[in-house]
Amino acid sequence: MIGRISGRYALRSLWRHPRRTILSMVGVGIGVAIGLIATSWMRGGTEMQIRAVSESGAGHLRVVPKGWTARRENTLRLPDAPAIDGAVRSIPAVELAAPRARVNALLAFGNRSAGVEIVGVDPEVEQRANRIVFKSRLAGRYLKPGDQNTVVVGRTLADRLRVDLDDDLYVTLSGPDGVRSAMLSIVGVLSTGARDLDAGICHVNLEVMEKISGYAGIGEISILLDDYRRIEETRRELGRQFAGLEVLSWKEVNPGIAANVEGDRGFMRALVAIIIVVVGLGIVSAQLTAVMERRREIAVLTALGMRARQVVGLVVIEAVSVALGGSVIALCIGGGVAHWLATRGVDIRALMGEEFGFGDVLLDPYIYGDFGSWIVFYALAVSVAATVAASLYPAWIASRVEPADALRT
Amino acid sequence: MKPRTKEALVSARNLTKVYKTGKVETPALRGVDLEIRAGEFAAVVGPSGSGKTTLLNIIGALDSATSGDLTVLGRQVRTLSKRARADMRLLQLGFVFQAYNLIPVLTAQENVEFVLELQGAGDEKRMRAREVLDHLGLSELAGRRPAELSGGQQQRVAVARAVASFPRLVLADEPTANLDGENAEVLLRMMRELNEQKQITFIFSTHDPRVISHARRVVTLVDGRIVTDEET
Amino acid sequence: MTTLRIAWRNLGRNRKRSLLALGAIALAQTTLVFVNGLFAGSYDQMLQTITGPMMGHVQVHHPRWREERAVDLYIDRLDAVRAQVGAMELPMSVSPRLYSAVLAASGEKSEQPADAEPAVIVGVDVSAESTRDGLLESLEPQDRPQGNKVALGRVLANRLNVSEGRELAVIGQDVDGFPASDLFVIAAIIDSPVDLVKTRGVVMCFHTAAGFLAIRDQAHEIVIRGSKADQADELAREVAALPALSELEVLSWREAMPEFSRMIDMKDWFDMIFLAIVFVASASGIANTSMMSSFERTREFGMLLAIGMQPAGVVRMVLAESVFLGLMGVLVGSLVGSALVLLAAHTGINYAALAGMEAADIAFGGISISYTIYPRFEFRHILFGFIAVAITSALASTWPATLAARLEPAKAMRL
Repeated sequence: MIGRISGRYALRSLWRHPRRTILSMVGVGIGVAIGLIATSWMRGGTEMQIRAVSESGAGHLRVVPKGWTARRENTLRLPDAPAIDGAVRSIPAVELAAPRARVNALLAFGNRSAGVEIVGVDPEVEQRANRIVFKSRLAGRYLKPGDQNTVVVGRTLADRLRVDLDDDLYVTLSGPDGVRSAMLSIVGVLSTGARDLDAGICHVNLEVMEKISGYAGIGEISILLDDYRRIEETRRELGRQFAGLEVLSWKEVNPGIAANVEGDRGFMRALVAIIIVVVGLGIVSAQLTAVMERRREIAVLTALGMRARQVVGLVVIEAVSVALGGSVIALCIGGGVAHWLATRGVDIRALMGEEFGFGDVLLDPYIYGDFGSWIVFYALAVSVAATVAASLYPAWIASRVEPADALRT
Repeated sequence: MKPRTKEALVSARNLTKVYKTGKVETPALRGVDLEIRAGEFAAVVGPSGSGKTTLLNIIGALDSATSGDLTVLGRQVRTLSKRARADMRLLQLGFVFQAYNLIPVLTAQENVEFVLELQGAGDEKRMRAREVLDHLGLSELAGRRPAELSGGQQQRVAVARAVASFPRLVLADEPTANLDGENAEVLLRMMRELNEQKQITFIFSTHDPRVISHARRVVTLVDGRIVTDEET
Repeated sequence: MTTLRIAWRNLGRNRKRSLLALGAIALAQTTLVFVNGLFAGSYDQMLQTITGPMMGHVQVHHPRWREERAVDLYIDRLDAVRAQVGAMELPMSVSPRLYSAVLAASGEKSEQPADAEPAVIVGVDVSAESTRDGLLESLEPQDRPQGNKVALGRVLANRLNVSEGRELAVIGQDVDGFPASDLFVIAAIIDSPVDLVKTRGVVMCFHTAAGFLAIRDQAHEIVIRGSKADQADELAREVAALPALSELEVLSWREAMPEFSRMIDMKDWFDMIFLAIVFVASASGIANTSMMSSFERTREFGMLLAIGMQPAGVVRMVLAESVFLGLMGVLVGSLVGSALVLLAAHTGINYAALAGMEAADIAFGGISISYTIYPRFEFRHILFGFIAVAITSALASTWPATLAARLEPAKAMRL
């Protein structure tokens, strides 16, 4: 249908009006480049936030007891935790599995008190899985297996209670059988730099947690995968294995960040869509002019027997050629900026100020754009889609040229 | 024959024009001597490529000669700046082209007013434009846009615009080329009247025999040279 | 000037092309106006919460209280302070507050052991906080805290699985560090935009809180609301000058909430982005249209120059066409954008539903984020759009205009 001669004709028609063709290509190129850069930024930002959320404790996935989501009751415990733990670790996509148990308590020292959620952890795993531990400055030491009655707190919490290393905290909490109390000795003070986060850090060993709370066992296993894109498939796998439990993704564990990520994504997409539409309108205009100028030529061809379908094909080939040229420009500009973003990154401390904690998540102050082979596909796909869509109307107009009318004057 | 006492509006001596496109040189005029006096109704004729349009363009300060002397309305055209030439075309000359004479988005009257406005006329331009149109019998067409006028009507309005401020010299390049017999006749008669009643000198470039038959002087150009120059 | 008239009418010559360029500009401008209206609206909401129930216009604290939040870092001789502030003869409300970290649990006897949640006692002056901008604005008079009746934040109530009428047990410490506990009745569940109250608040009347904490004549915070939020800085200075407050920290809401200025900066940044889009859209649309239209009219330009129009006149004409087109696009975009803003301001936009999410309870800077935004119309965006488009239209058509002006009439007409 689209023969070589048609192709040649289409291409040479474009070069008869080099300025217009170049202008169209540049228009497409810039619009798509903006989309590329926005997408790269957005993907980088998403990746950063997911990594931040998962490493701040939510994990990519979390196995919790049935009923947890309904009431977010942190004293529920998993049945047969060791078996679950073993099964989880055997899945190849799983990089780390962090068991935890939580309870709400009131800490007191002298006449100072503060409410906090105490988290019971496995120190060795926690140090690798939780960035609140591995990215912070630590005074003293972190928990060790076998510790009795030790606790690690956040700097702001310590300041508010006016305590420091080796001080003993008085803990009051509500256990399975009523109000309980205990004394814990501070061996470490963590400082992430984010005040809200540092006001909520309180870690003990799982054994210590069991002892002071009276709740036996583990309340959750937070899982870090080697690739965040495998969340859904791993989730299904786990769901199959543990039908009696709930397997949550980080989105359900931390809807705040999820909302943020989705919001940003939606916003960027809308933005890019608008830009592409604006550029597309320019293409429609250019194509339309091209068609109107060549009414006579098209009329001659139609009179000689060219079919409407083929006329449309001609216009579309021209559009695709513009798209290809435009995508090259887009790759140069957009790809260049995306590469810069991916290697240099952007310091968003200026935006976020001192606090880079959001809720209970410790964010990275740097966003690195995403850069990969997807960029080529994106540039081509969006350019072609936009220009072909834009050329539909001019193509329709071209196909309706009446030879007699057009040839008359 | 009239005694040669009228002043020369156009005085050309040894005009040559060579067009250079890339490496190719095309000579259009090869030494033209010509004098046009006030009140003349002259036609410059010749086959296509003879240089008649080129000659007219040079006289009208639309183009410049490669060599030779040219005095139009007492001014040495070669010495004029681009701005001065535009002023001369605006204030002292009138033009009628073969096509595309009028501004498509303005009415006939507005087209005439526009030229007057460019020339600096104030509020009186509307009245004067109306007068010219009336004088030439075009009052009905005043409110119409070019697209609503026939070819002949458009050309007549073009003449109205060209003579709106009564210039001394009007240059017309193939004004009848797109017109049928009757329209051409009407147009030429209009221009003859203006020539006789308002003493406007007309120089045509044409190969239309109808124009030639109306002209009182015919200058024939072949290959960039004048071969005959007759008064009829 | 007929040149302008010609320019204006020339727009109608190629309707489709003009409409396309106009459409692109209008779309960009509509987006600018609408999105900025959204930002302005959400900013307004936050501002309302901050200067209203959260911290009023001016706050008074013990100098270290904001950092350490300790019960013993109180404002002493409360009555004297209130008297002096009250004597200032300015229209304002003065509302003292008490805060204390506690554990709260359902007081009902049941099969399951009661689960305790960390909570915060918020003792307030009920009449001062029941006014228009107060913390208790949303409560009916009969539901207001009084005696042992308290208002519980919604999220806390959900977590504790309690409802109105039930009992609430609270365990904590008094100001000297001795254990304190009490049983209260939940009079109301409160949905406050102040995150602290919504997620952990046990709101009770000042007197009851003072009793629990064994405190007299002291408070942790005094919230002062004047007549105008943007005069808060001056008010803060005047209040700070009072002798009774010489040892205390007095801050206006702006000083107390630097994150908010950051949010404003971010909003300005977004404003710039959208303005840039409008620039780009108009530039590309106009450049395209102008270039093509100029090339098409080479003969016409030749004629105009031939009959004596000065090249500058031709340039003016081309520029004028572009600027008219651009301005029309901006006008349409402004009208549509403004209409959208005004409509949405009426109904509100549920941001969460649009993004396909469930409205989650998240907070930023202590304000519970509401997912329904009421956009506000800001005229300056319309103004910026007009200026941006006028400039870019002129610039984008400069090149075709100059090309047209440089034409040789003879050559141009020969084409």
